[in-house]
Amino acid sequence: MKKRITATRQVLEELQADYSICTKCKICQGVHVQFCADSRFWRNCPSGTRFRWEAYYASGKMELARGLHTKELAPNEVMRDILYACNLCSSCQEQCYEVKQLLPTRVFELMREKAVREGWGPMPEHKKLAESLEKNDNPWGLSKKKRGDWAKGLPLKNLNKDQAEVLFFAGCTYAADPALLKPVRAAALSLVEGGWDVGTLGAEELCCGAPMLLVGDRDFFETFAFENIERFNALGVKTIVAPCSHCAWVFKEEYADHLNSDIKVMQISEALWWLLRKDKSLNFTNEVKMKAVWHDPCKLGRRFDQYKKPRAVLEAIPGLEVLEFHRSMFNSLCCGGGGGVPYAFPDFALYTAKERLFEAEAVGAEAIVTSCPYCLQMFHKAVEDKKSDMKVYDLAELVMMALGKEV
Amino acid sequence: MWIKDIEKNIRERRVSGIIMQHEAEPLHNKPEDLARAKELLQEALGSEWVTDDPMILIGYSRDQSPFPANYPHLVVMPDSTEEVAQVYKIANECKVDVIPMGTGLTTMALHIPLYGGIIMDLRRMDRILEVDGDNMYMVIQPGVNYLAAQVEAQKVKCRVLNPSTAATAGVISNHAFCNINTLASKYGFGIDNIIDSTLVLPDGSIVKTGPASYGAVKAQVPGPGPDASSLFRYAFGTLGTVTEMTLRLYPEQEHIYQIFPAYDEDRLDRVIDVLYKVANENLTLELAHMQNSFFGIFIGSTNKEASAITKSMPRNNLFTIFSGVTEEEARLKAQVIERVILEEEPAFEFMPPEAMDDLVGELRSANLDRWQKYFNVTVRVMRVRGSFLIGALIGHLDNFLQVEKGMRVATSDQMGHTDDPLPPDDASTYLQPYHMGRSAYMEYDLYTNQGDKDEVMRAVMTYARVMMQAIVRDGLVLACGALALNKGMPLPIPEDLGTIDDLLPLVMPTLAPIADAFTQFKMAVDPNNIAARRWDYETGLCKKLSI
Repeated sequence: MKKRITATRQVLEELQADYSICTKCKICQGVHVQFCADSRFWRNCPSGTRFRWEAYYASGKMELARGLHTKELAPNEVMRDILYACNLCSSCQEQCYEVKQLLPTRVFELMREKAVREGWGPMPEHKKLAESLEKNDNPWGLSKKKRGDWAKGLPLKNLNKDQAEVLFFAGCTYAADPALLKPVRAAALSLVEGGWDVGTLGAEELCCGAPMLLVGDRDFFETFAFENIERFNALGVKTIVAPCSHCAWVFKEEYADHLNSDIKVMQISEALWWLLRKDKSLNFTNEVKMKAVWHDPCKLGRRFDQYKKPRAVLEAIPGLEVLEFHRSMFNSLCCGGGGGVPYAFPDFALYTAKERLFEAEAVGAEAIVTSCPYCLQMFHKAVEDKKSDMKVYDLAELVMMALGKEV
Repeated sequence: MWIKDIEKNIRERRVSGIIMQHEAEPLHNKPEDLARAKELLQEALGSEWVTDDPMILIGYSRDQSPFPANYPHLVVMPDSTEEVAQVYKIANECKVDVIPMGTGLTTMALHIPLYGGIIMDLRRMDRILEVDGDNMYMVIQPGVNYLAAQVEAQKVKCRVLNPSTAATAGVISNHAFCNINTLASKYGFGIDNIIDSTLVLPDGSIVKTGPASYGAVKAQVPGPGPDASSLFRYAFGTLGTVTEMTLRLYPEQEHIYQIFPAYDEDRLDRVIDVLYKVANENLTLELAHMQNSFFGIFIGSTNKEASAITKSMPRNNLFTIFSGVTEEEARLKAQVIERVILEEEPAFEFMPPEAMDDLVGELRSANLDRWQKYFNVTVRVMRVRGSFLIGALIGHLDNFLQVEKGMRVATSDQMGHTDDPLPPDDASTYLQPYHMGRSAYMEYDLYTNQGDKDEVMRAVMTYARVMMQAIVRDGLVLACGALALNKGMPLPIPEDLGTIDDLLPLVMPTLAPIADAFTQFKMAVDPNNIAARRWDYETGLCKKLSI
């Protein structure tokens, strides 16, 4: 049996007050009223907007949690589908917590853990991800040997042999998707350009476990967490930089208590901001003439309030006109890629990504810029499906363009 | 198979079943009729928009009232007036109850299906059909909320009158109910701002009221000609469903100026005198009295912001906003009102606008300019955890001094928020003159904890006693059109005094004939009693009091 981290666990029933006293005010369904300038874009719950029935909104899923608690309902396939058709984007919680101090997204996360514990979750499609994780240590079927191929030719140290101050943790999705090769190489290179001493784990890198945590399999997640934490602590690194906002999320929220206290975790957009504003080691010399709109990844924005830093990086790029979505910052709409939705409900995920693409077009953007592999994948799919001219970039790609460097 | 086994196992072990506490011997909503209704509804609306799955039904089982959960038998989502008519026709044919639901934000159990039946979720009908800035009206469907309506009105430099509710509340259901406009009661209630409506009666026939009924252009004045719009006010779905409504819009003023009169003594009588003086000058765009805590929840977008504002405000405040074609005009009106206030009560002070700007400037979401100009929505309704009842009283403000004392006792020691420095009893009242002083409006909120039935009953009973006292002793009239909701309902007091119908002629003799007229009208337009049924024609009684 694999070792796991041991941390205090929360169970659904602890949040009984949250799901029992939700009063269906529907604040969870939209953006903050003061920040809505076009009624076309007031909705902010992807699953409720797509499926329409109340149960698909946070207010309805809170009732499902209450029904489970009071034994009014027994779980079945329909409840499972509703629960897993949620992107866990936290838009509902962002609105609700500020006014009522309720935690709907946390309720749904714990419902998923309950579902896995009791055997009625996750979705069958998610089990394939788990199988690949067992076999390949990544959910996407990438052979273990090829895990580090993305970094071929880059001036990065191998932390299995050498010492470096910064661990660049690429993450499974960046490592496995050929379409994301340029973004991940740009991210690693931009740190080197900024003068940091960067290394990777190469083929030895393991999944952070976030996909399993999202679908509710905390036991499995904790086995990855244990191995990663042991390794990170032994490396002697000072900083871990993750280009993937999901990796950064679990490192910050789940690993943090177990990591050596002197290890700092940064998502790439934070690291770029640091290089630009603190180290002042990035010198943007090239103009990037483009109208670009910044998409806040849910796990970066709503989870960690990182709204200003990526914008500051973009605004420093000469020639770049930075636009805002109607639904931006804490009102940002999910890309459709959150919560394991694309694997179980690909059509719904694409529907949401196309809605976001429509919004980007509506504000006059020529490019969507973001900093999350799932967002990049979803926007690429939406652009392809709509045959749109919209360009999709990772933040690090624009940084490298501004530096005048090839990736 | 795995999930079936688990389901069976769990059910056998511990599932007590969904809450279908309907009638013991139902005349409506019989299983065989429901099965037939489902079949016909799927044919009419498409199977995608009809469901009896408990996992979907549970989403419609509760609202913001203290009523316990109760499931419908079916939920449907029509997309047009014609489809709504189809639903009613099928419901009549199959003897199944129909409860319409606008956006589902209700504090009065309006869409909790007491006897089961069909919940008609109208949120697919969420289109703004027409916005005419020149003639200042808007045509909308029932799924449109205040946020969407207001934003679209702004595009033609107009505004929709907002009640003190959430931005997510439905416009049609609020306007057809009452819609006490938060701070602009000089323009009347929501019901005074309906130009025309399209309704589907319980028999499935489609009716147009107002100028639209005879093909006239939509105008700002109702008529000429007969207008049946008022017949459906306060009906709460008991007389059918409104599927389109034309609302009045008001011009969004070019220049807005606000002053902040404050009176720190806890003397409501002095505030009332000043409030009437200001109202009679008719210079304010918006006017209300708010205690500091209520001021906080009006301006603050979050509880944290509301608390910060509350702490910084004096005890009593007048919410006075002025408008003008020029800024000078707005400021001049403010100067006149300042003088009027000081002549009436020299102890009033004026908080500098800059101080308020500084106060809200430090907050994340509160933006006074946008709040004043566009939305006027508050977190008041949204911030409630548990449930609440609204006590809405209309009469002369002078009558309220006694009532206020009773209400304060009744609403003290309410369920609070563990981490909320705003106690609900203190943050739940405001006073405003209505139609510039000829009558007035006062409101108290009663917070209850749905998890504690004894507490709910205690709170509701205490509250009901104060309301009864206010009606009997002070001659006050319930603001809500309670007939449709409460007709035939047993009185929620220990002594068996019968039903609301029995008490009504005693305490409000002038209202009793209206109750009779409502009864006759309901029976005429809904012979099968399928529209939001709350009482039986044969017995005249409400079978359930689900508190």
